[in-house]
Amino acid sequence: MNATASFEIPTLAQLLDPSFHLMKAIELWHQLPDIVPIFLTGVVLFGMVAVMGQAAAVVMVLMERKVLSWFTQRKGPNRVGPGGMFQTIADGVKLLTKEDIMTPVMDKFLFTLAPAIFLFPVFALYAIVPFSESLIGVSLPLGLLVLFALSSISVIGLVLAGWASNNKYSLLGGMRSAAQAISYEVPLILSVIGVVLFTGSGNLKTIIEAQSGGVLHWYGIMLTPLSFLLFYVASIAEVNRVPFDLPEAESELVSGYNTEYSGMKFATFFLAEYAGLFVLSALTVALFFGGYTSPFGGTFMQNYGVADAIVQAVKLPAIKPLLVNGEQIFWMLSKTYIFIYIAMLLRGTLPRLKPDQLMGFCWKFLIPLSLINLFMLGFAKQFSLSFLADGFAGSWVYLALAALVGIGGVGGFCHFIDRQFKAQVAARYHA
Amino acid sequence: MMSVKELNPELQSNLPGVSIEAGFDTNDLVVNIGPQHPSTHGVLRLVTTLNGEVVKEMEPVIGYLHRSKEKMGESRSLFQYQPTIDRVEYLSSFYDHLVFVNCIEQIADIPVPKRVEYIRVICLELNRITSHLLWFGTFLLDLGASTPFFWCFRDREEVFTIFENLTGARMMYNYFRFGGVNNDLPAGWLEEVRAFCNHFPDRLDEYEAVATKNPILMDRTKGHGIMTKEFCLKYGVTGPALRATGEALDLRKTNPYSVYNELDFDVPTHTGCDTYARYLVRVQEMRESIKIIKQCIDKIPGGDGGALAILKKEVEAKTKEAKKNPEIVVPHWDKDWDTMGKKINLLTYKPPAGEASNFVESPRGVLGCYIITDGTPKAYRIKWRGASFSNLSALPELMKGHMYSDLMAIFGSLDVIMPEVDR
Amino acid sequence: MNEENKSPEQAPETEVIEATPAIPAGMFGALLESKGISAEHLGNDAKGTEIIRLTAEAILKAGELLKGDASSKLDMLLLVTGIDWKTHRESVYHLYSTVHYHSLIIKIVADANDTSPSLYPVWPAADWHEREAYDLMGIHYEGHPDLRRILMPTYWLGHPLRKDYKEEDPRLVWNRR
Repeated sequence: MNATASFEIPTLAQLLDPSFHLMKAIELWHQLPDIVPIFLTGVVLFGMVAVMGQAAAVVMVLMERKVLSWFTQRKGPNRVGPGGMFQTIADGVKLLTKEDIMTPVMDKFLFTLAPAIFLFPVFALYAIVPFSESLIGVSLPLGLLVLFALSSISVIGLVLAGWASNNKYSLLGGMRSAAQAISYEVPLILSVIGVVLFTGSGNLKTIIEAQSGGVLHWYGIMLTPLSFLLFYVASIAEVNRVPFDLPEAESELVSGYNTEYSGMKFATFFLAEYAGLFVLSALTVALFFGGYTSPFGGTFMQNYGVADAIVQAVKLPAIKPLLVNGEQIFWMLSKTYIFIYIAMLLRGTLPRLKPDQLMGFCWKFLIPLSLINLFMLGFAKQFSLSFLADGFAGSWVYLALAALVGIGGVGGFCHFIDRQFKAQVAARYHA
Repeated sequence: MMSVKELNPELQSNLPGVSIEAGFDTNDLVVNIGPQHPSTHGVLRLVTTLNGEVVKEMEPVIGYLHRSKEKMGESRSLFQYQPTIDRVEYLSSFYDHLVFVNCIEQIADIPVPKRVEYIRVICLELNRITSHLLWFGTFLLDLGASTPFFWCFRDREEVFTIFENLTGARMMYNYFRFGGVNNDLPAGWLEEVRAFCNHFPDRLDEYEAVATKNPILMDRTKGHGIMTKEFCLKYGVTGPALRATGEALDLRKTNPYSVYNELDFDVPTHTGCDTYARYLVRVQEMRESIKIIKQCIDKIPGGDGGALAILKKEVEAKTKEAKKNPEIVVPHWDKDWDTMGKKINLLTYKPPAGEASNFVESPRGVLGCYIITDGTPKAYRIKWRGASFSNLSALPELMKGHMYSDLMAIFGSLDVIMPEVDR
Repeated sequence: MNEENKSPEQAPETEVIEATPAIPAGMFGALLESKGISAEHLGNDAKGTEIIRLTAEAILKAGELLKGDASSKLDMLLLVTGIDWKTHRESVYHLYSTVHYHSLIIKIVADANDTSPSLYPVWPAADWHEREAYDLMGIHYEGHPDLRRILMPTYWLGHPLRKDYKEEDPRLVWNRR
């Protein structure tokens, strides 16, 4: 690198042109020693993840309280700030300044470690979420593998919390969450394999670009709606939300694994749960609903030359990527919040499952169904590839096959298992 | 990890159901559910032995809410005691008053005017609705559905406002008197009740749409917590729990008191014997209560309180004048329109010596009161029968072999409230 | 619990009334006497519910009879009350029939040691009710499987509903002066 040679005094016109400064900055960026960009990328990435995660959680807590209050004929938080906007921040301050209570019978080290272990993988997941084609922490070729690797770590935090609290409710909650998270990991992965099968890549960006043709190319709608449903149900269970919130079932286990937690440690669990819901909703969008592309294919900015028109109007060629990325972030966030909203509606509507029902639902219904789904997708991929060229006609072949085999096979299998299970239960009651 | 003994040596000998010295299976987990727990509906403690998530043994420990209501009755006059009996069962306290007041009416042979009986029945049935609404909300809350809870509270508050307009209190009414009620209906009160009766069934449909056919709810309640008729008789279980076994035992129908024999209503029963059957029976009872209230509004002698109060003033004035001038015609006043059967100075009232027991069908089952008087202003002995007391005693056997999560569904379906158990 | 609400097929039963010098035997009294169990008839209360007093020896046999006999079928125990008459203690049992919808009140005087036979073998519902009567009134029910305190703490002294009960427990804060 020749750092000293290219320095010239800029003219006044150049100084007034923002694009000049942008070009200069990019030039400078490439001239820096290698370690600096890597370090800075790390810092920016960390900052992005932290801010995005926190901000999303703060918004979602307020949103959830508001949505539930509309559900239940209430006003919801409306005291702090306009329309209760700053309620979550006030709550956060309260939790930060609250006394951190630890009973003498706890395992203090693990008790403190548990929230961190729960939080870290959830926040790390933000790194692989593609918010736009440029705003993506790391575009890994096997981003999906990272997703599953990370999301299975957080359960250790819950089990540790349950164990270290030395409280029976916490222990039961921790054990329930372990069983639940491990079980629901299976349909979660099985349902995604279908997408990978058709895309041929585990990179989320590639998956999104494969669906960039608009609604008819979204996997969740036209190709593998069943996979989407399986993934969504399993992801709701992964983040322990109603109706799968058994680990913290407040009417049974007081508060489950976080019964003994107070102050910021409790807030950490709280934060991580909401961050987890956000990440999994975002991934649902990325995998099945075209990610950052608009429902009409690509982006308006590119398709209809809107970006070019704006660039010409303001005479700033450098803002074109900003415009395109901005629109993509808009689509990504809007779709994500739709799924978050659905999760909130579910919370307002459904009662909680029982542990045995939860396990039964996973092992006797979801897993067989996702296996059959996977088989059907493989079949469709192998034998009707020509129909699937545009991802449209083939999907109907798939749907018809899935309907025939799926309903018969799954129904019969579930019926058989259920009968066995009921006989066992009956035997236990009569014993 | 410290043992229970190290933590509190005094406590150790007082743990019922737990014999630490003898030692128990290490696979078992003894959980003290309560006395402070979100879904024990008060301060009940359930010493539960869990094997995994299956309940092996359970022992209810009660008495945390014991306020010595029976001893209080012996130490103060009936009139002083009356305001405190609202707290025997605070979710449907009109029923407490009814049994208490009826006992004294029986001992002293005080007549009760028809209008009073109808007012009482309206209050009782509205109170049954509020009680069942609270049960509906908390039952579903225990199952994890949070929304119906708030919906039920909205309607419950509406009824409480109606009660407030009548009695001045939202929960602790102290409205019934020996042989009457404290005051007549305020003007327009019956219309308020009628308006509520008109829109409530629609609301109930809405609540049922959320819950009744919900597959998760049905899965959690159907076939769980089966109580047969023999089981109910063994433990003295009454109320909706007994009616869910197909036994149409409702004291309003079988042994009519007040004016229930003049009213047309059905006793909802179900033959499911399980948690879901108890749920359905209670929901249906709310509809029957609405039916009863509507009939009472139509049948109540004297009608709305406003016009009657004006008439009463006129009658009183004219009666005075008629004593001086016999030509003045006093307007017709029916005995049935009174709000007091017999004038009693409550401050100095001494019921004759005697004893009476009275049982009514409260929202939770048979609520009873047994009073012995000895001619003094105080009662010699007052004994309360809370339906929850007997219903709760069935829980340990009912829970054996069920999942820990079923506890909340089954316990919730018994509709036990602790003030009635401990009194 | 009114007399007139008895089911029609029970009406002939009430006609069999034996006149005893003081108070005539009601339906249940007549039934017991026909089986050779002597009962003291205390008349009816204001609602027409028959009250009888039984001796400790006769109670279990009478209980089985009243519960099992087709004409009485008193299958539900509603209430057990302990009463302190200063000289002696008495247990009052309120019984109810879920078949005929009629009821009966049985009184049993406890002996000088405050011992009374438990009706648990006949009506298991007496379990908690008798525990309560033991706890608050100090009547010892013989034959009860699990006679422990139920409302008061296990370490409580005395029986609070007795007329001579004084709050003298040294463990109470206000007695520590």
